[in-house]
Amino acid sequence: MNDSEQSKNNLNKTVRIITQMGLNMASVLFSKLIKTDANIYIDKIYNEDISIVGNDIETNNKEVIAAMVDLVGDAPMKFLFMVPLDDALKITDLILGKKLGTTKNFDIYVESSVQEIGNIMASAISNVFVTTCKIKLLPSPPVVVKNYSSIIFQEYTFDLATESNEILIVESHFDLSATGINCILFLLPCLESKKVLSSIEGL
Amino acid sequence: MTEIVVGIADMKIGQGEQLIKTSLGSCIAVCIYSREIRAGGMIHFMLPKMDETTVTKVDKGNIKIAKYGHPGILELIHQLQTKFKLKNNDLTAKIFGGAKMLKNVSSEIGLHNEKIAREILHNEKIKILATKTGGEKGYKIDFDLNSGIVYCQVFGDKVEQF
Repeated sequence: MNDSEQSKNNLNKTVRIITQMGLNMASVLFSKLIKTDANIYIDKIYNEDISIVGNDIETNNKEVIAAMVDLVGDAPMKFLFMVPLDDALKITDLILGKKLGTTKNFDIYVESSVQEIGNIMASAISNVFVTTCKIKLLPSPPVVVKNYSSIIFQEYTFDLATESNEILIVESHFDLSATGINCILFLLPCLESKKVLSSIEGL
Repeated sequence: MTEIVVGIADMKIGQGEQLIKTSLGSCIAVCIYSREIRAGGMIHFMLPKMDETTVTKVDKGNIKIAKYGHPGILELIHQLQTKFKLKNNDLTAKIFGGAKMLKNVSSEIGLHNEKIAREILHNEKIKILATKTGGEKGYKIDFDLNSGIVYCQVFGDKVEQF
């Protein structure tokens, strides 16, 4: 294995461990909020060419609500929480303590619920980076967008794709037991973060 | 009909029973077509132009030309000319995308992208038959190479034909 591959592997390992720790914390916080067991797990970590990165999403293009958060600091990253519209309505019912199926349309409550989830998740992940790795990282206020999944993903990756032809993606799934709700979380370290994250030792 | 997906910073060409698909936010898609031989291509670019430092990297094969309107659109025209033996006056163009999706972002990248596309097509004397650009919502684009029709759906609206 050459130095470049070794560095890439080390980076992926670091990001996987810290992100999973952050997601574990987020699962606990979120389960308490909705009084339902939430399980969030990392599906895969991969480096992907920008031209094919959204192709899976392109072929499965749904109407979704998303919360985008920039994690700003020593190792800047981008966080995205994406949920299909129908599932966003169910999550809103859970957060508001209403019977599932009460919320029928996208409104300010749905927007606020998705925003709140984005905030909880991104804060949990940045907290783990701060406490475990001693790096400064602060979440920006979540921006909520309603659009096709492929377009949201494109806007989310836009800045990184201008800097590099290949981006590192952490893709996580988010299941809420007995509700059938399935959401996706993405975490993308920015180009300048890779050096900082690769140098973290002792995990 | 075969479907071809064009990703970000990507371009594809084809002919006949093929549908070239993409989704756009602030990026621009330029669809170029020859009615005579039912062949065409699409580029989905992110930024108007390369700067001097990125031009150097092209020589090393590190940069995607399709990321930039210039020289990406010229490369698309060149590919169509080479593969299908076409001349510029055989070709027509349609332009889509360039939305400003995030209201709190001040960048006018979509406008700049559209402007460069118009400039290049004007310089190459390729007639622009239709445009659907701007707004705050994303676009889904299906380019039918059999008919030359582009099916464009702005999020939340009906599909329009161009």
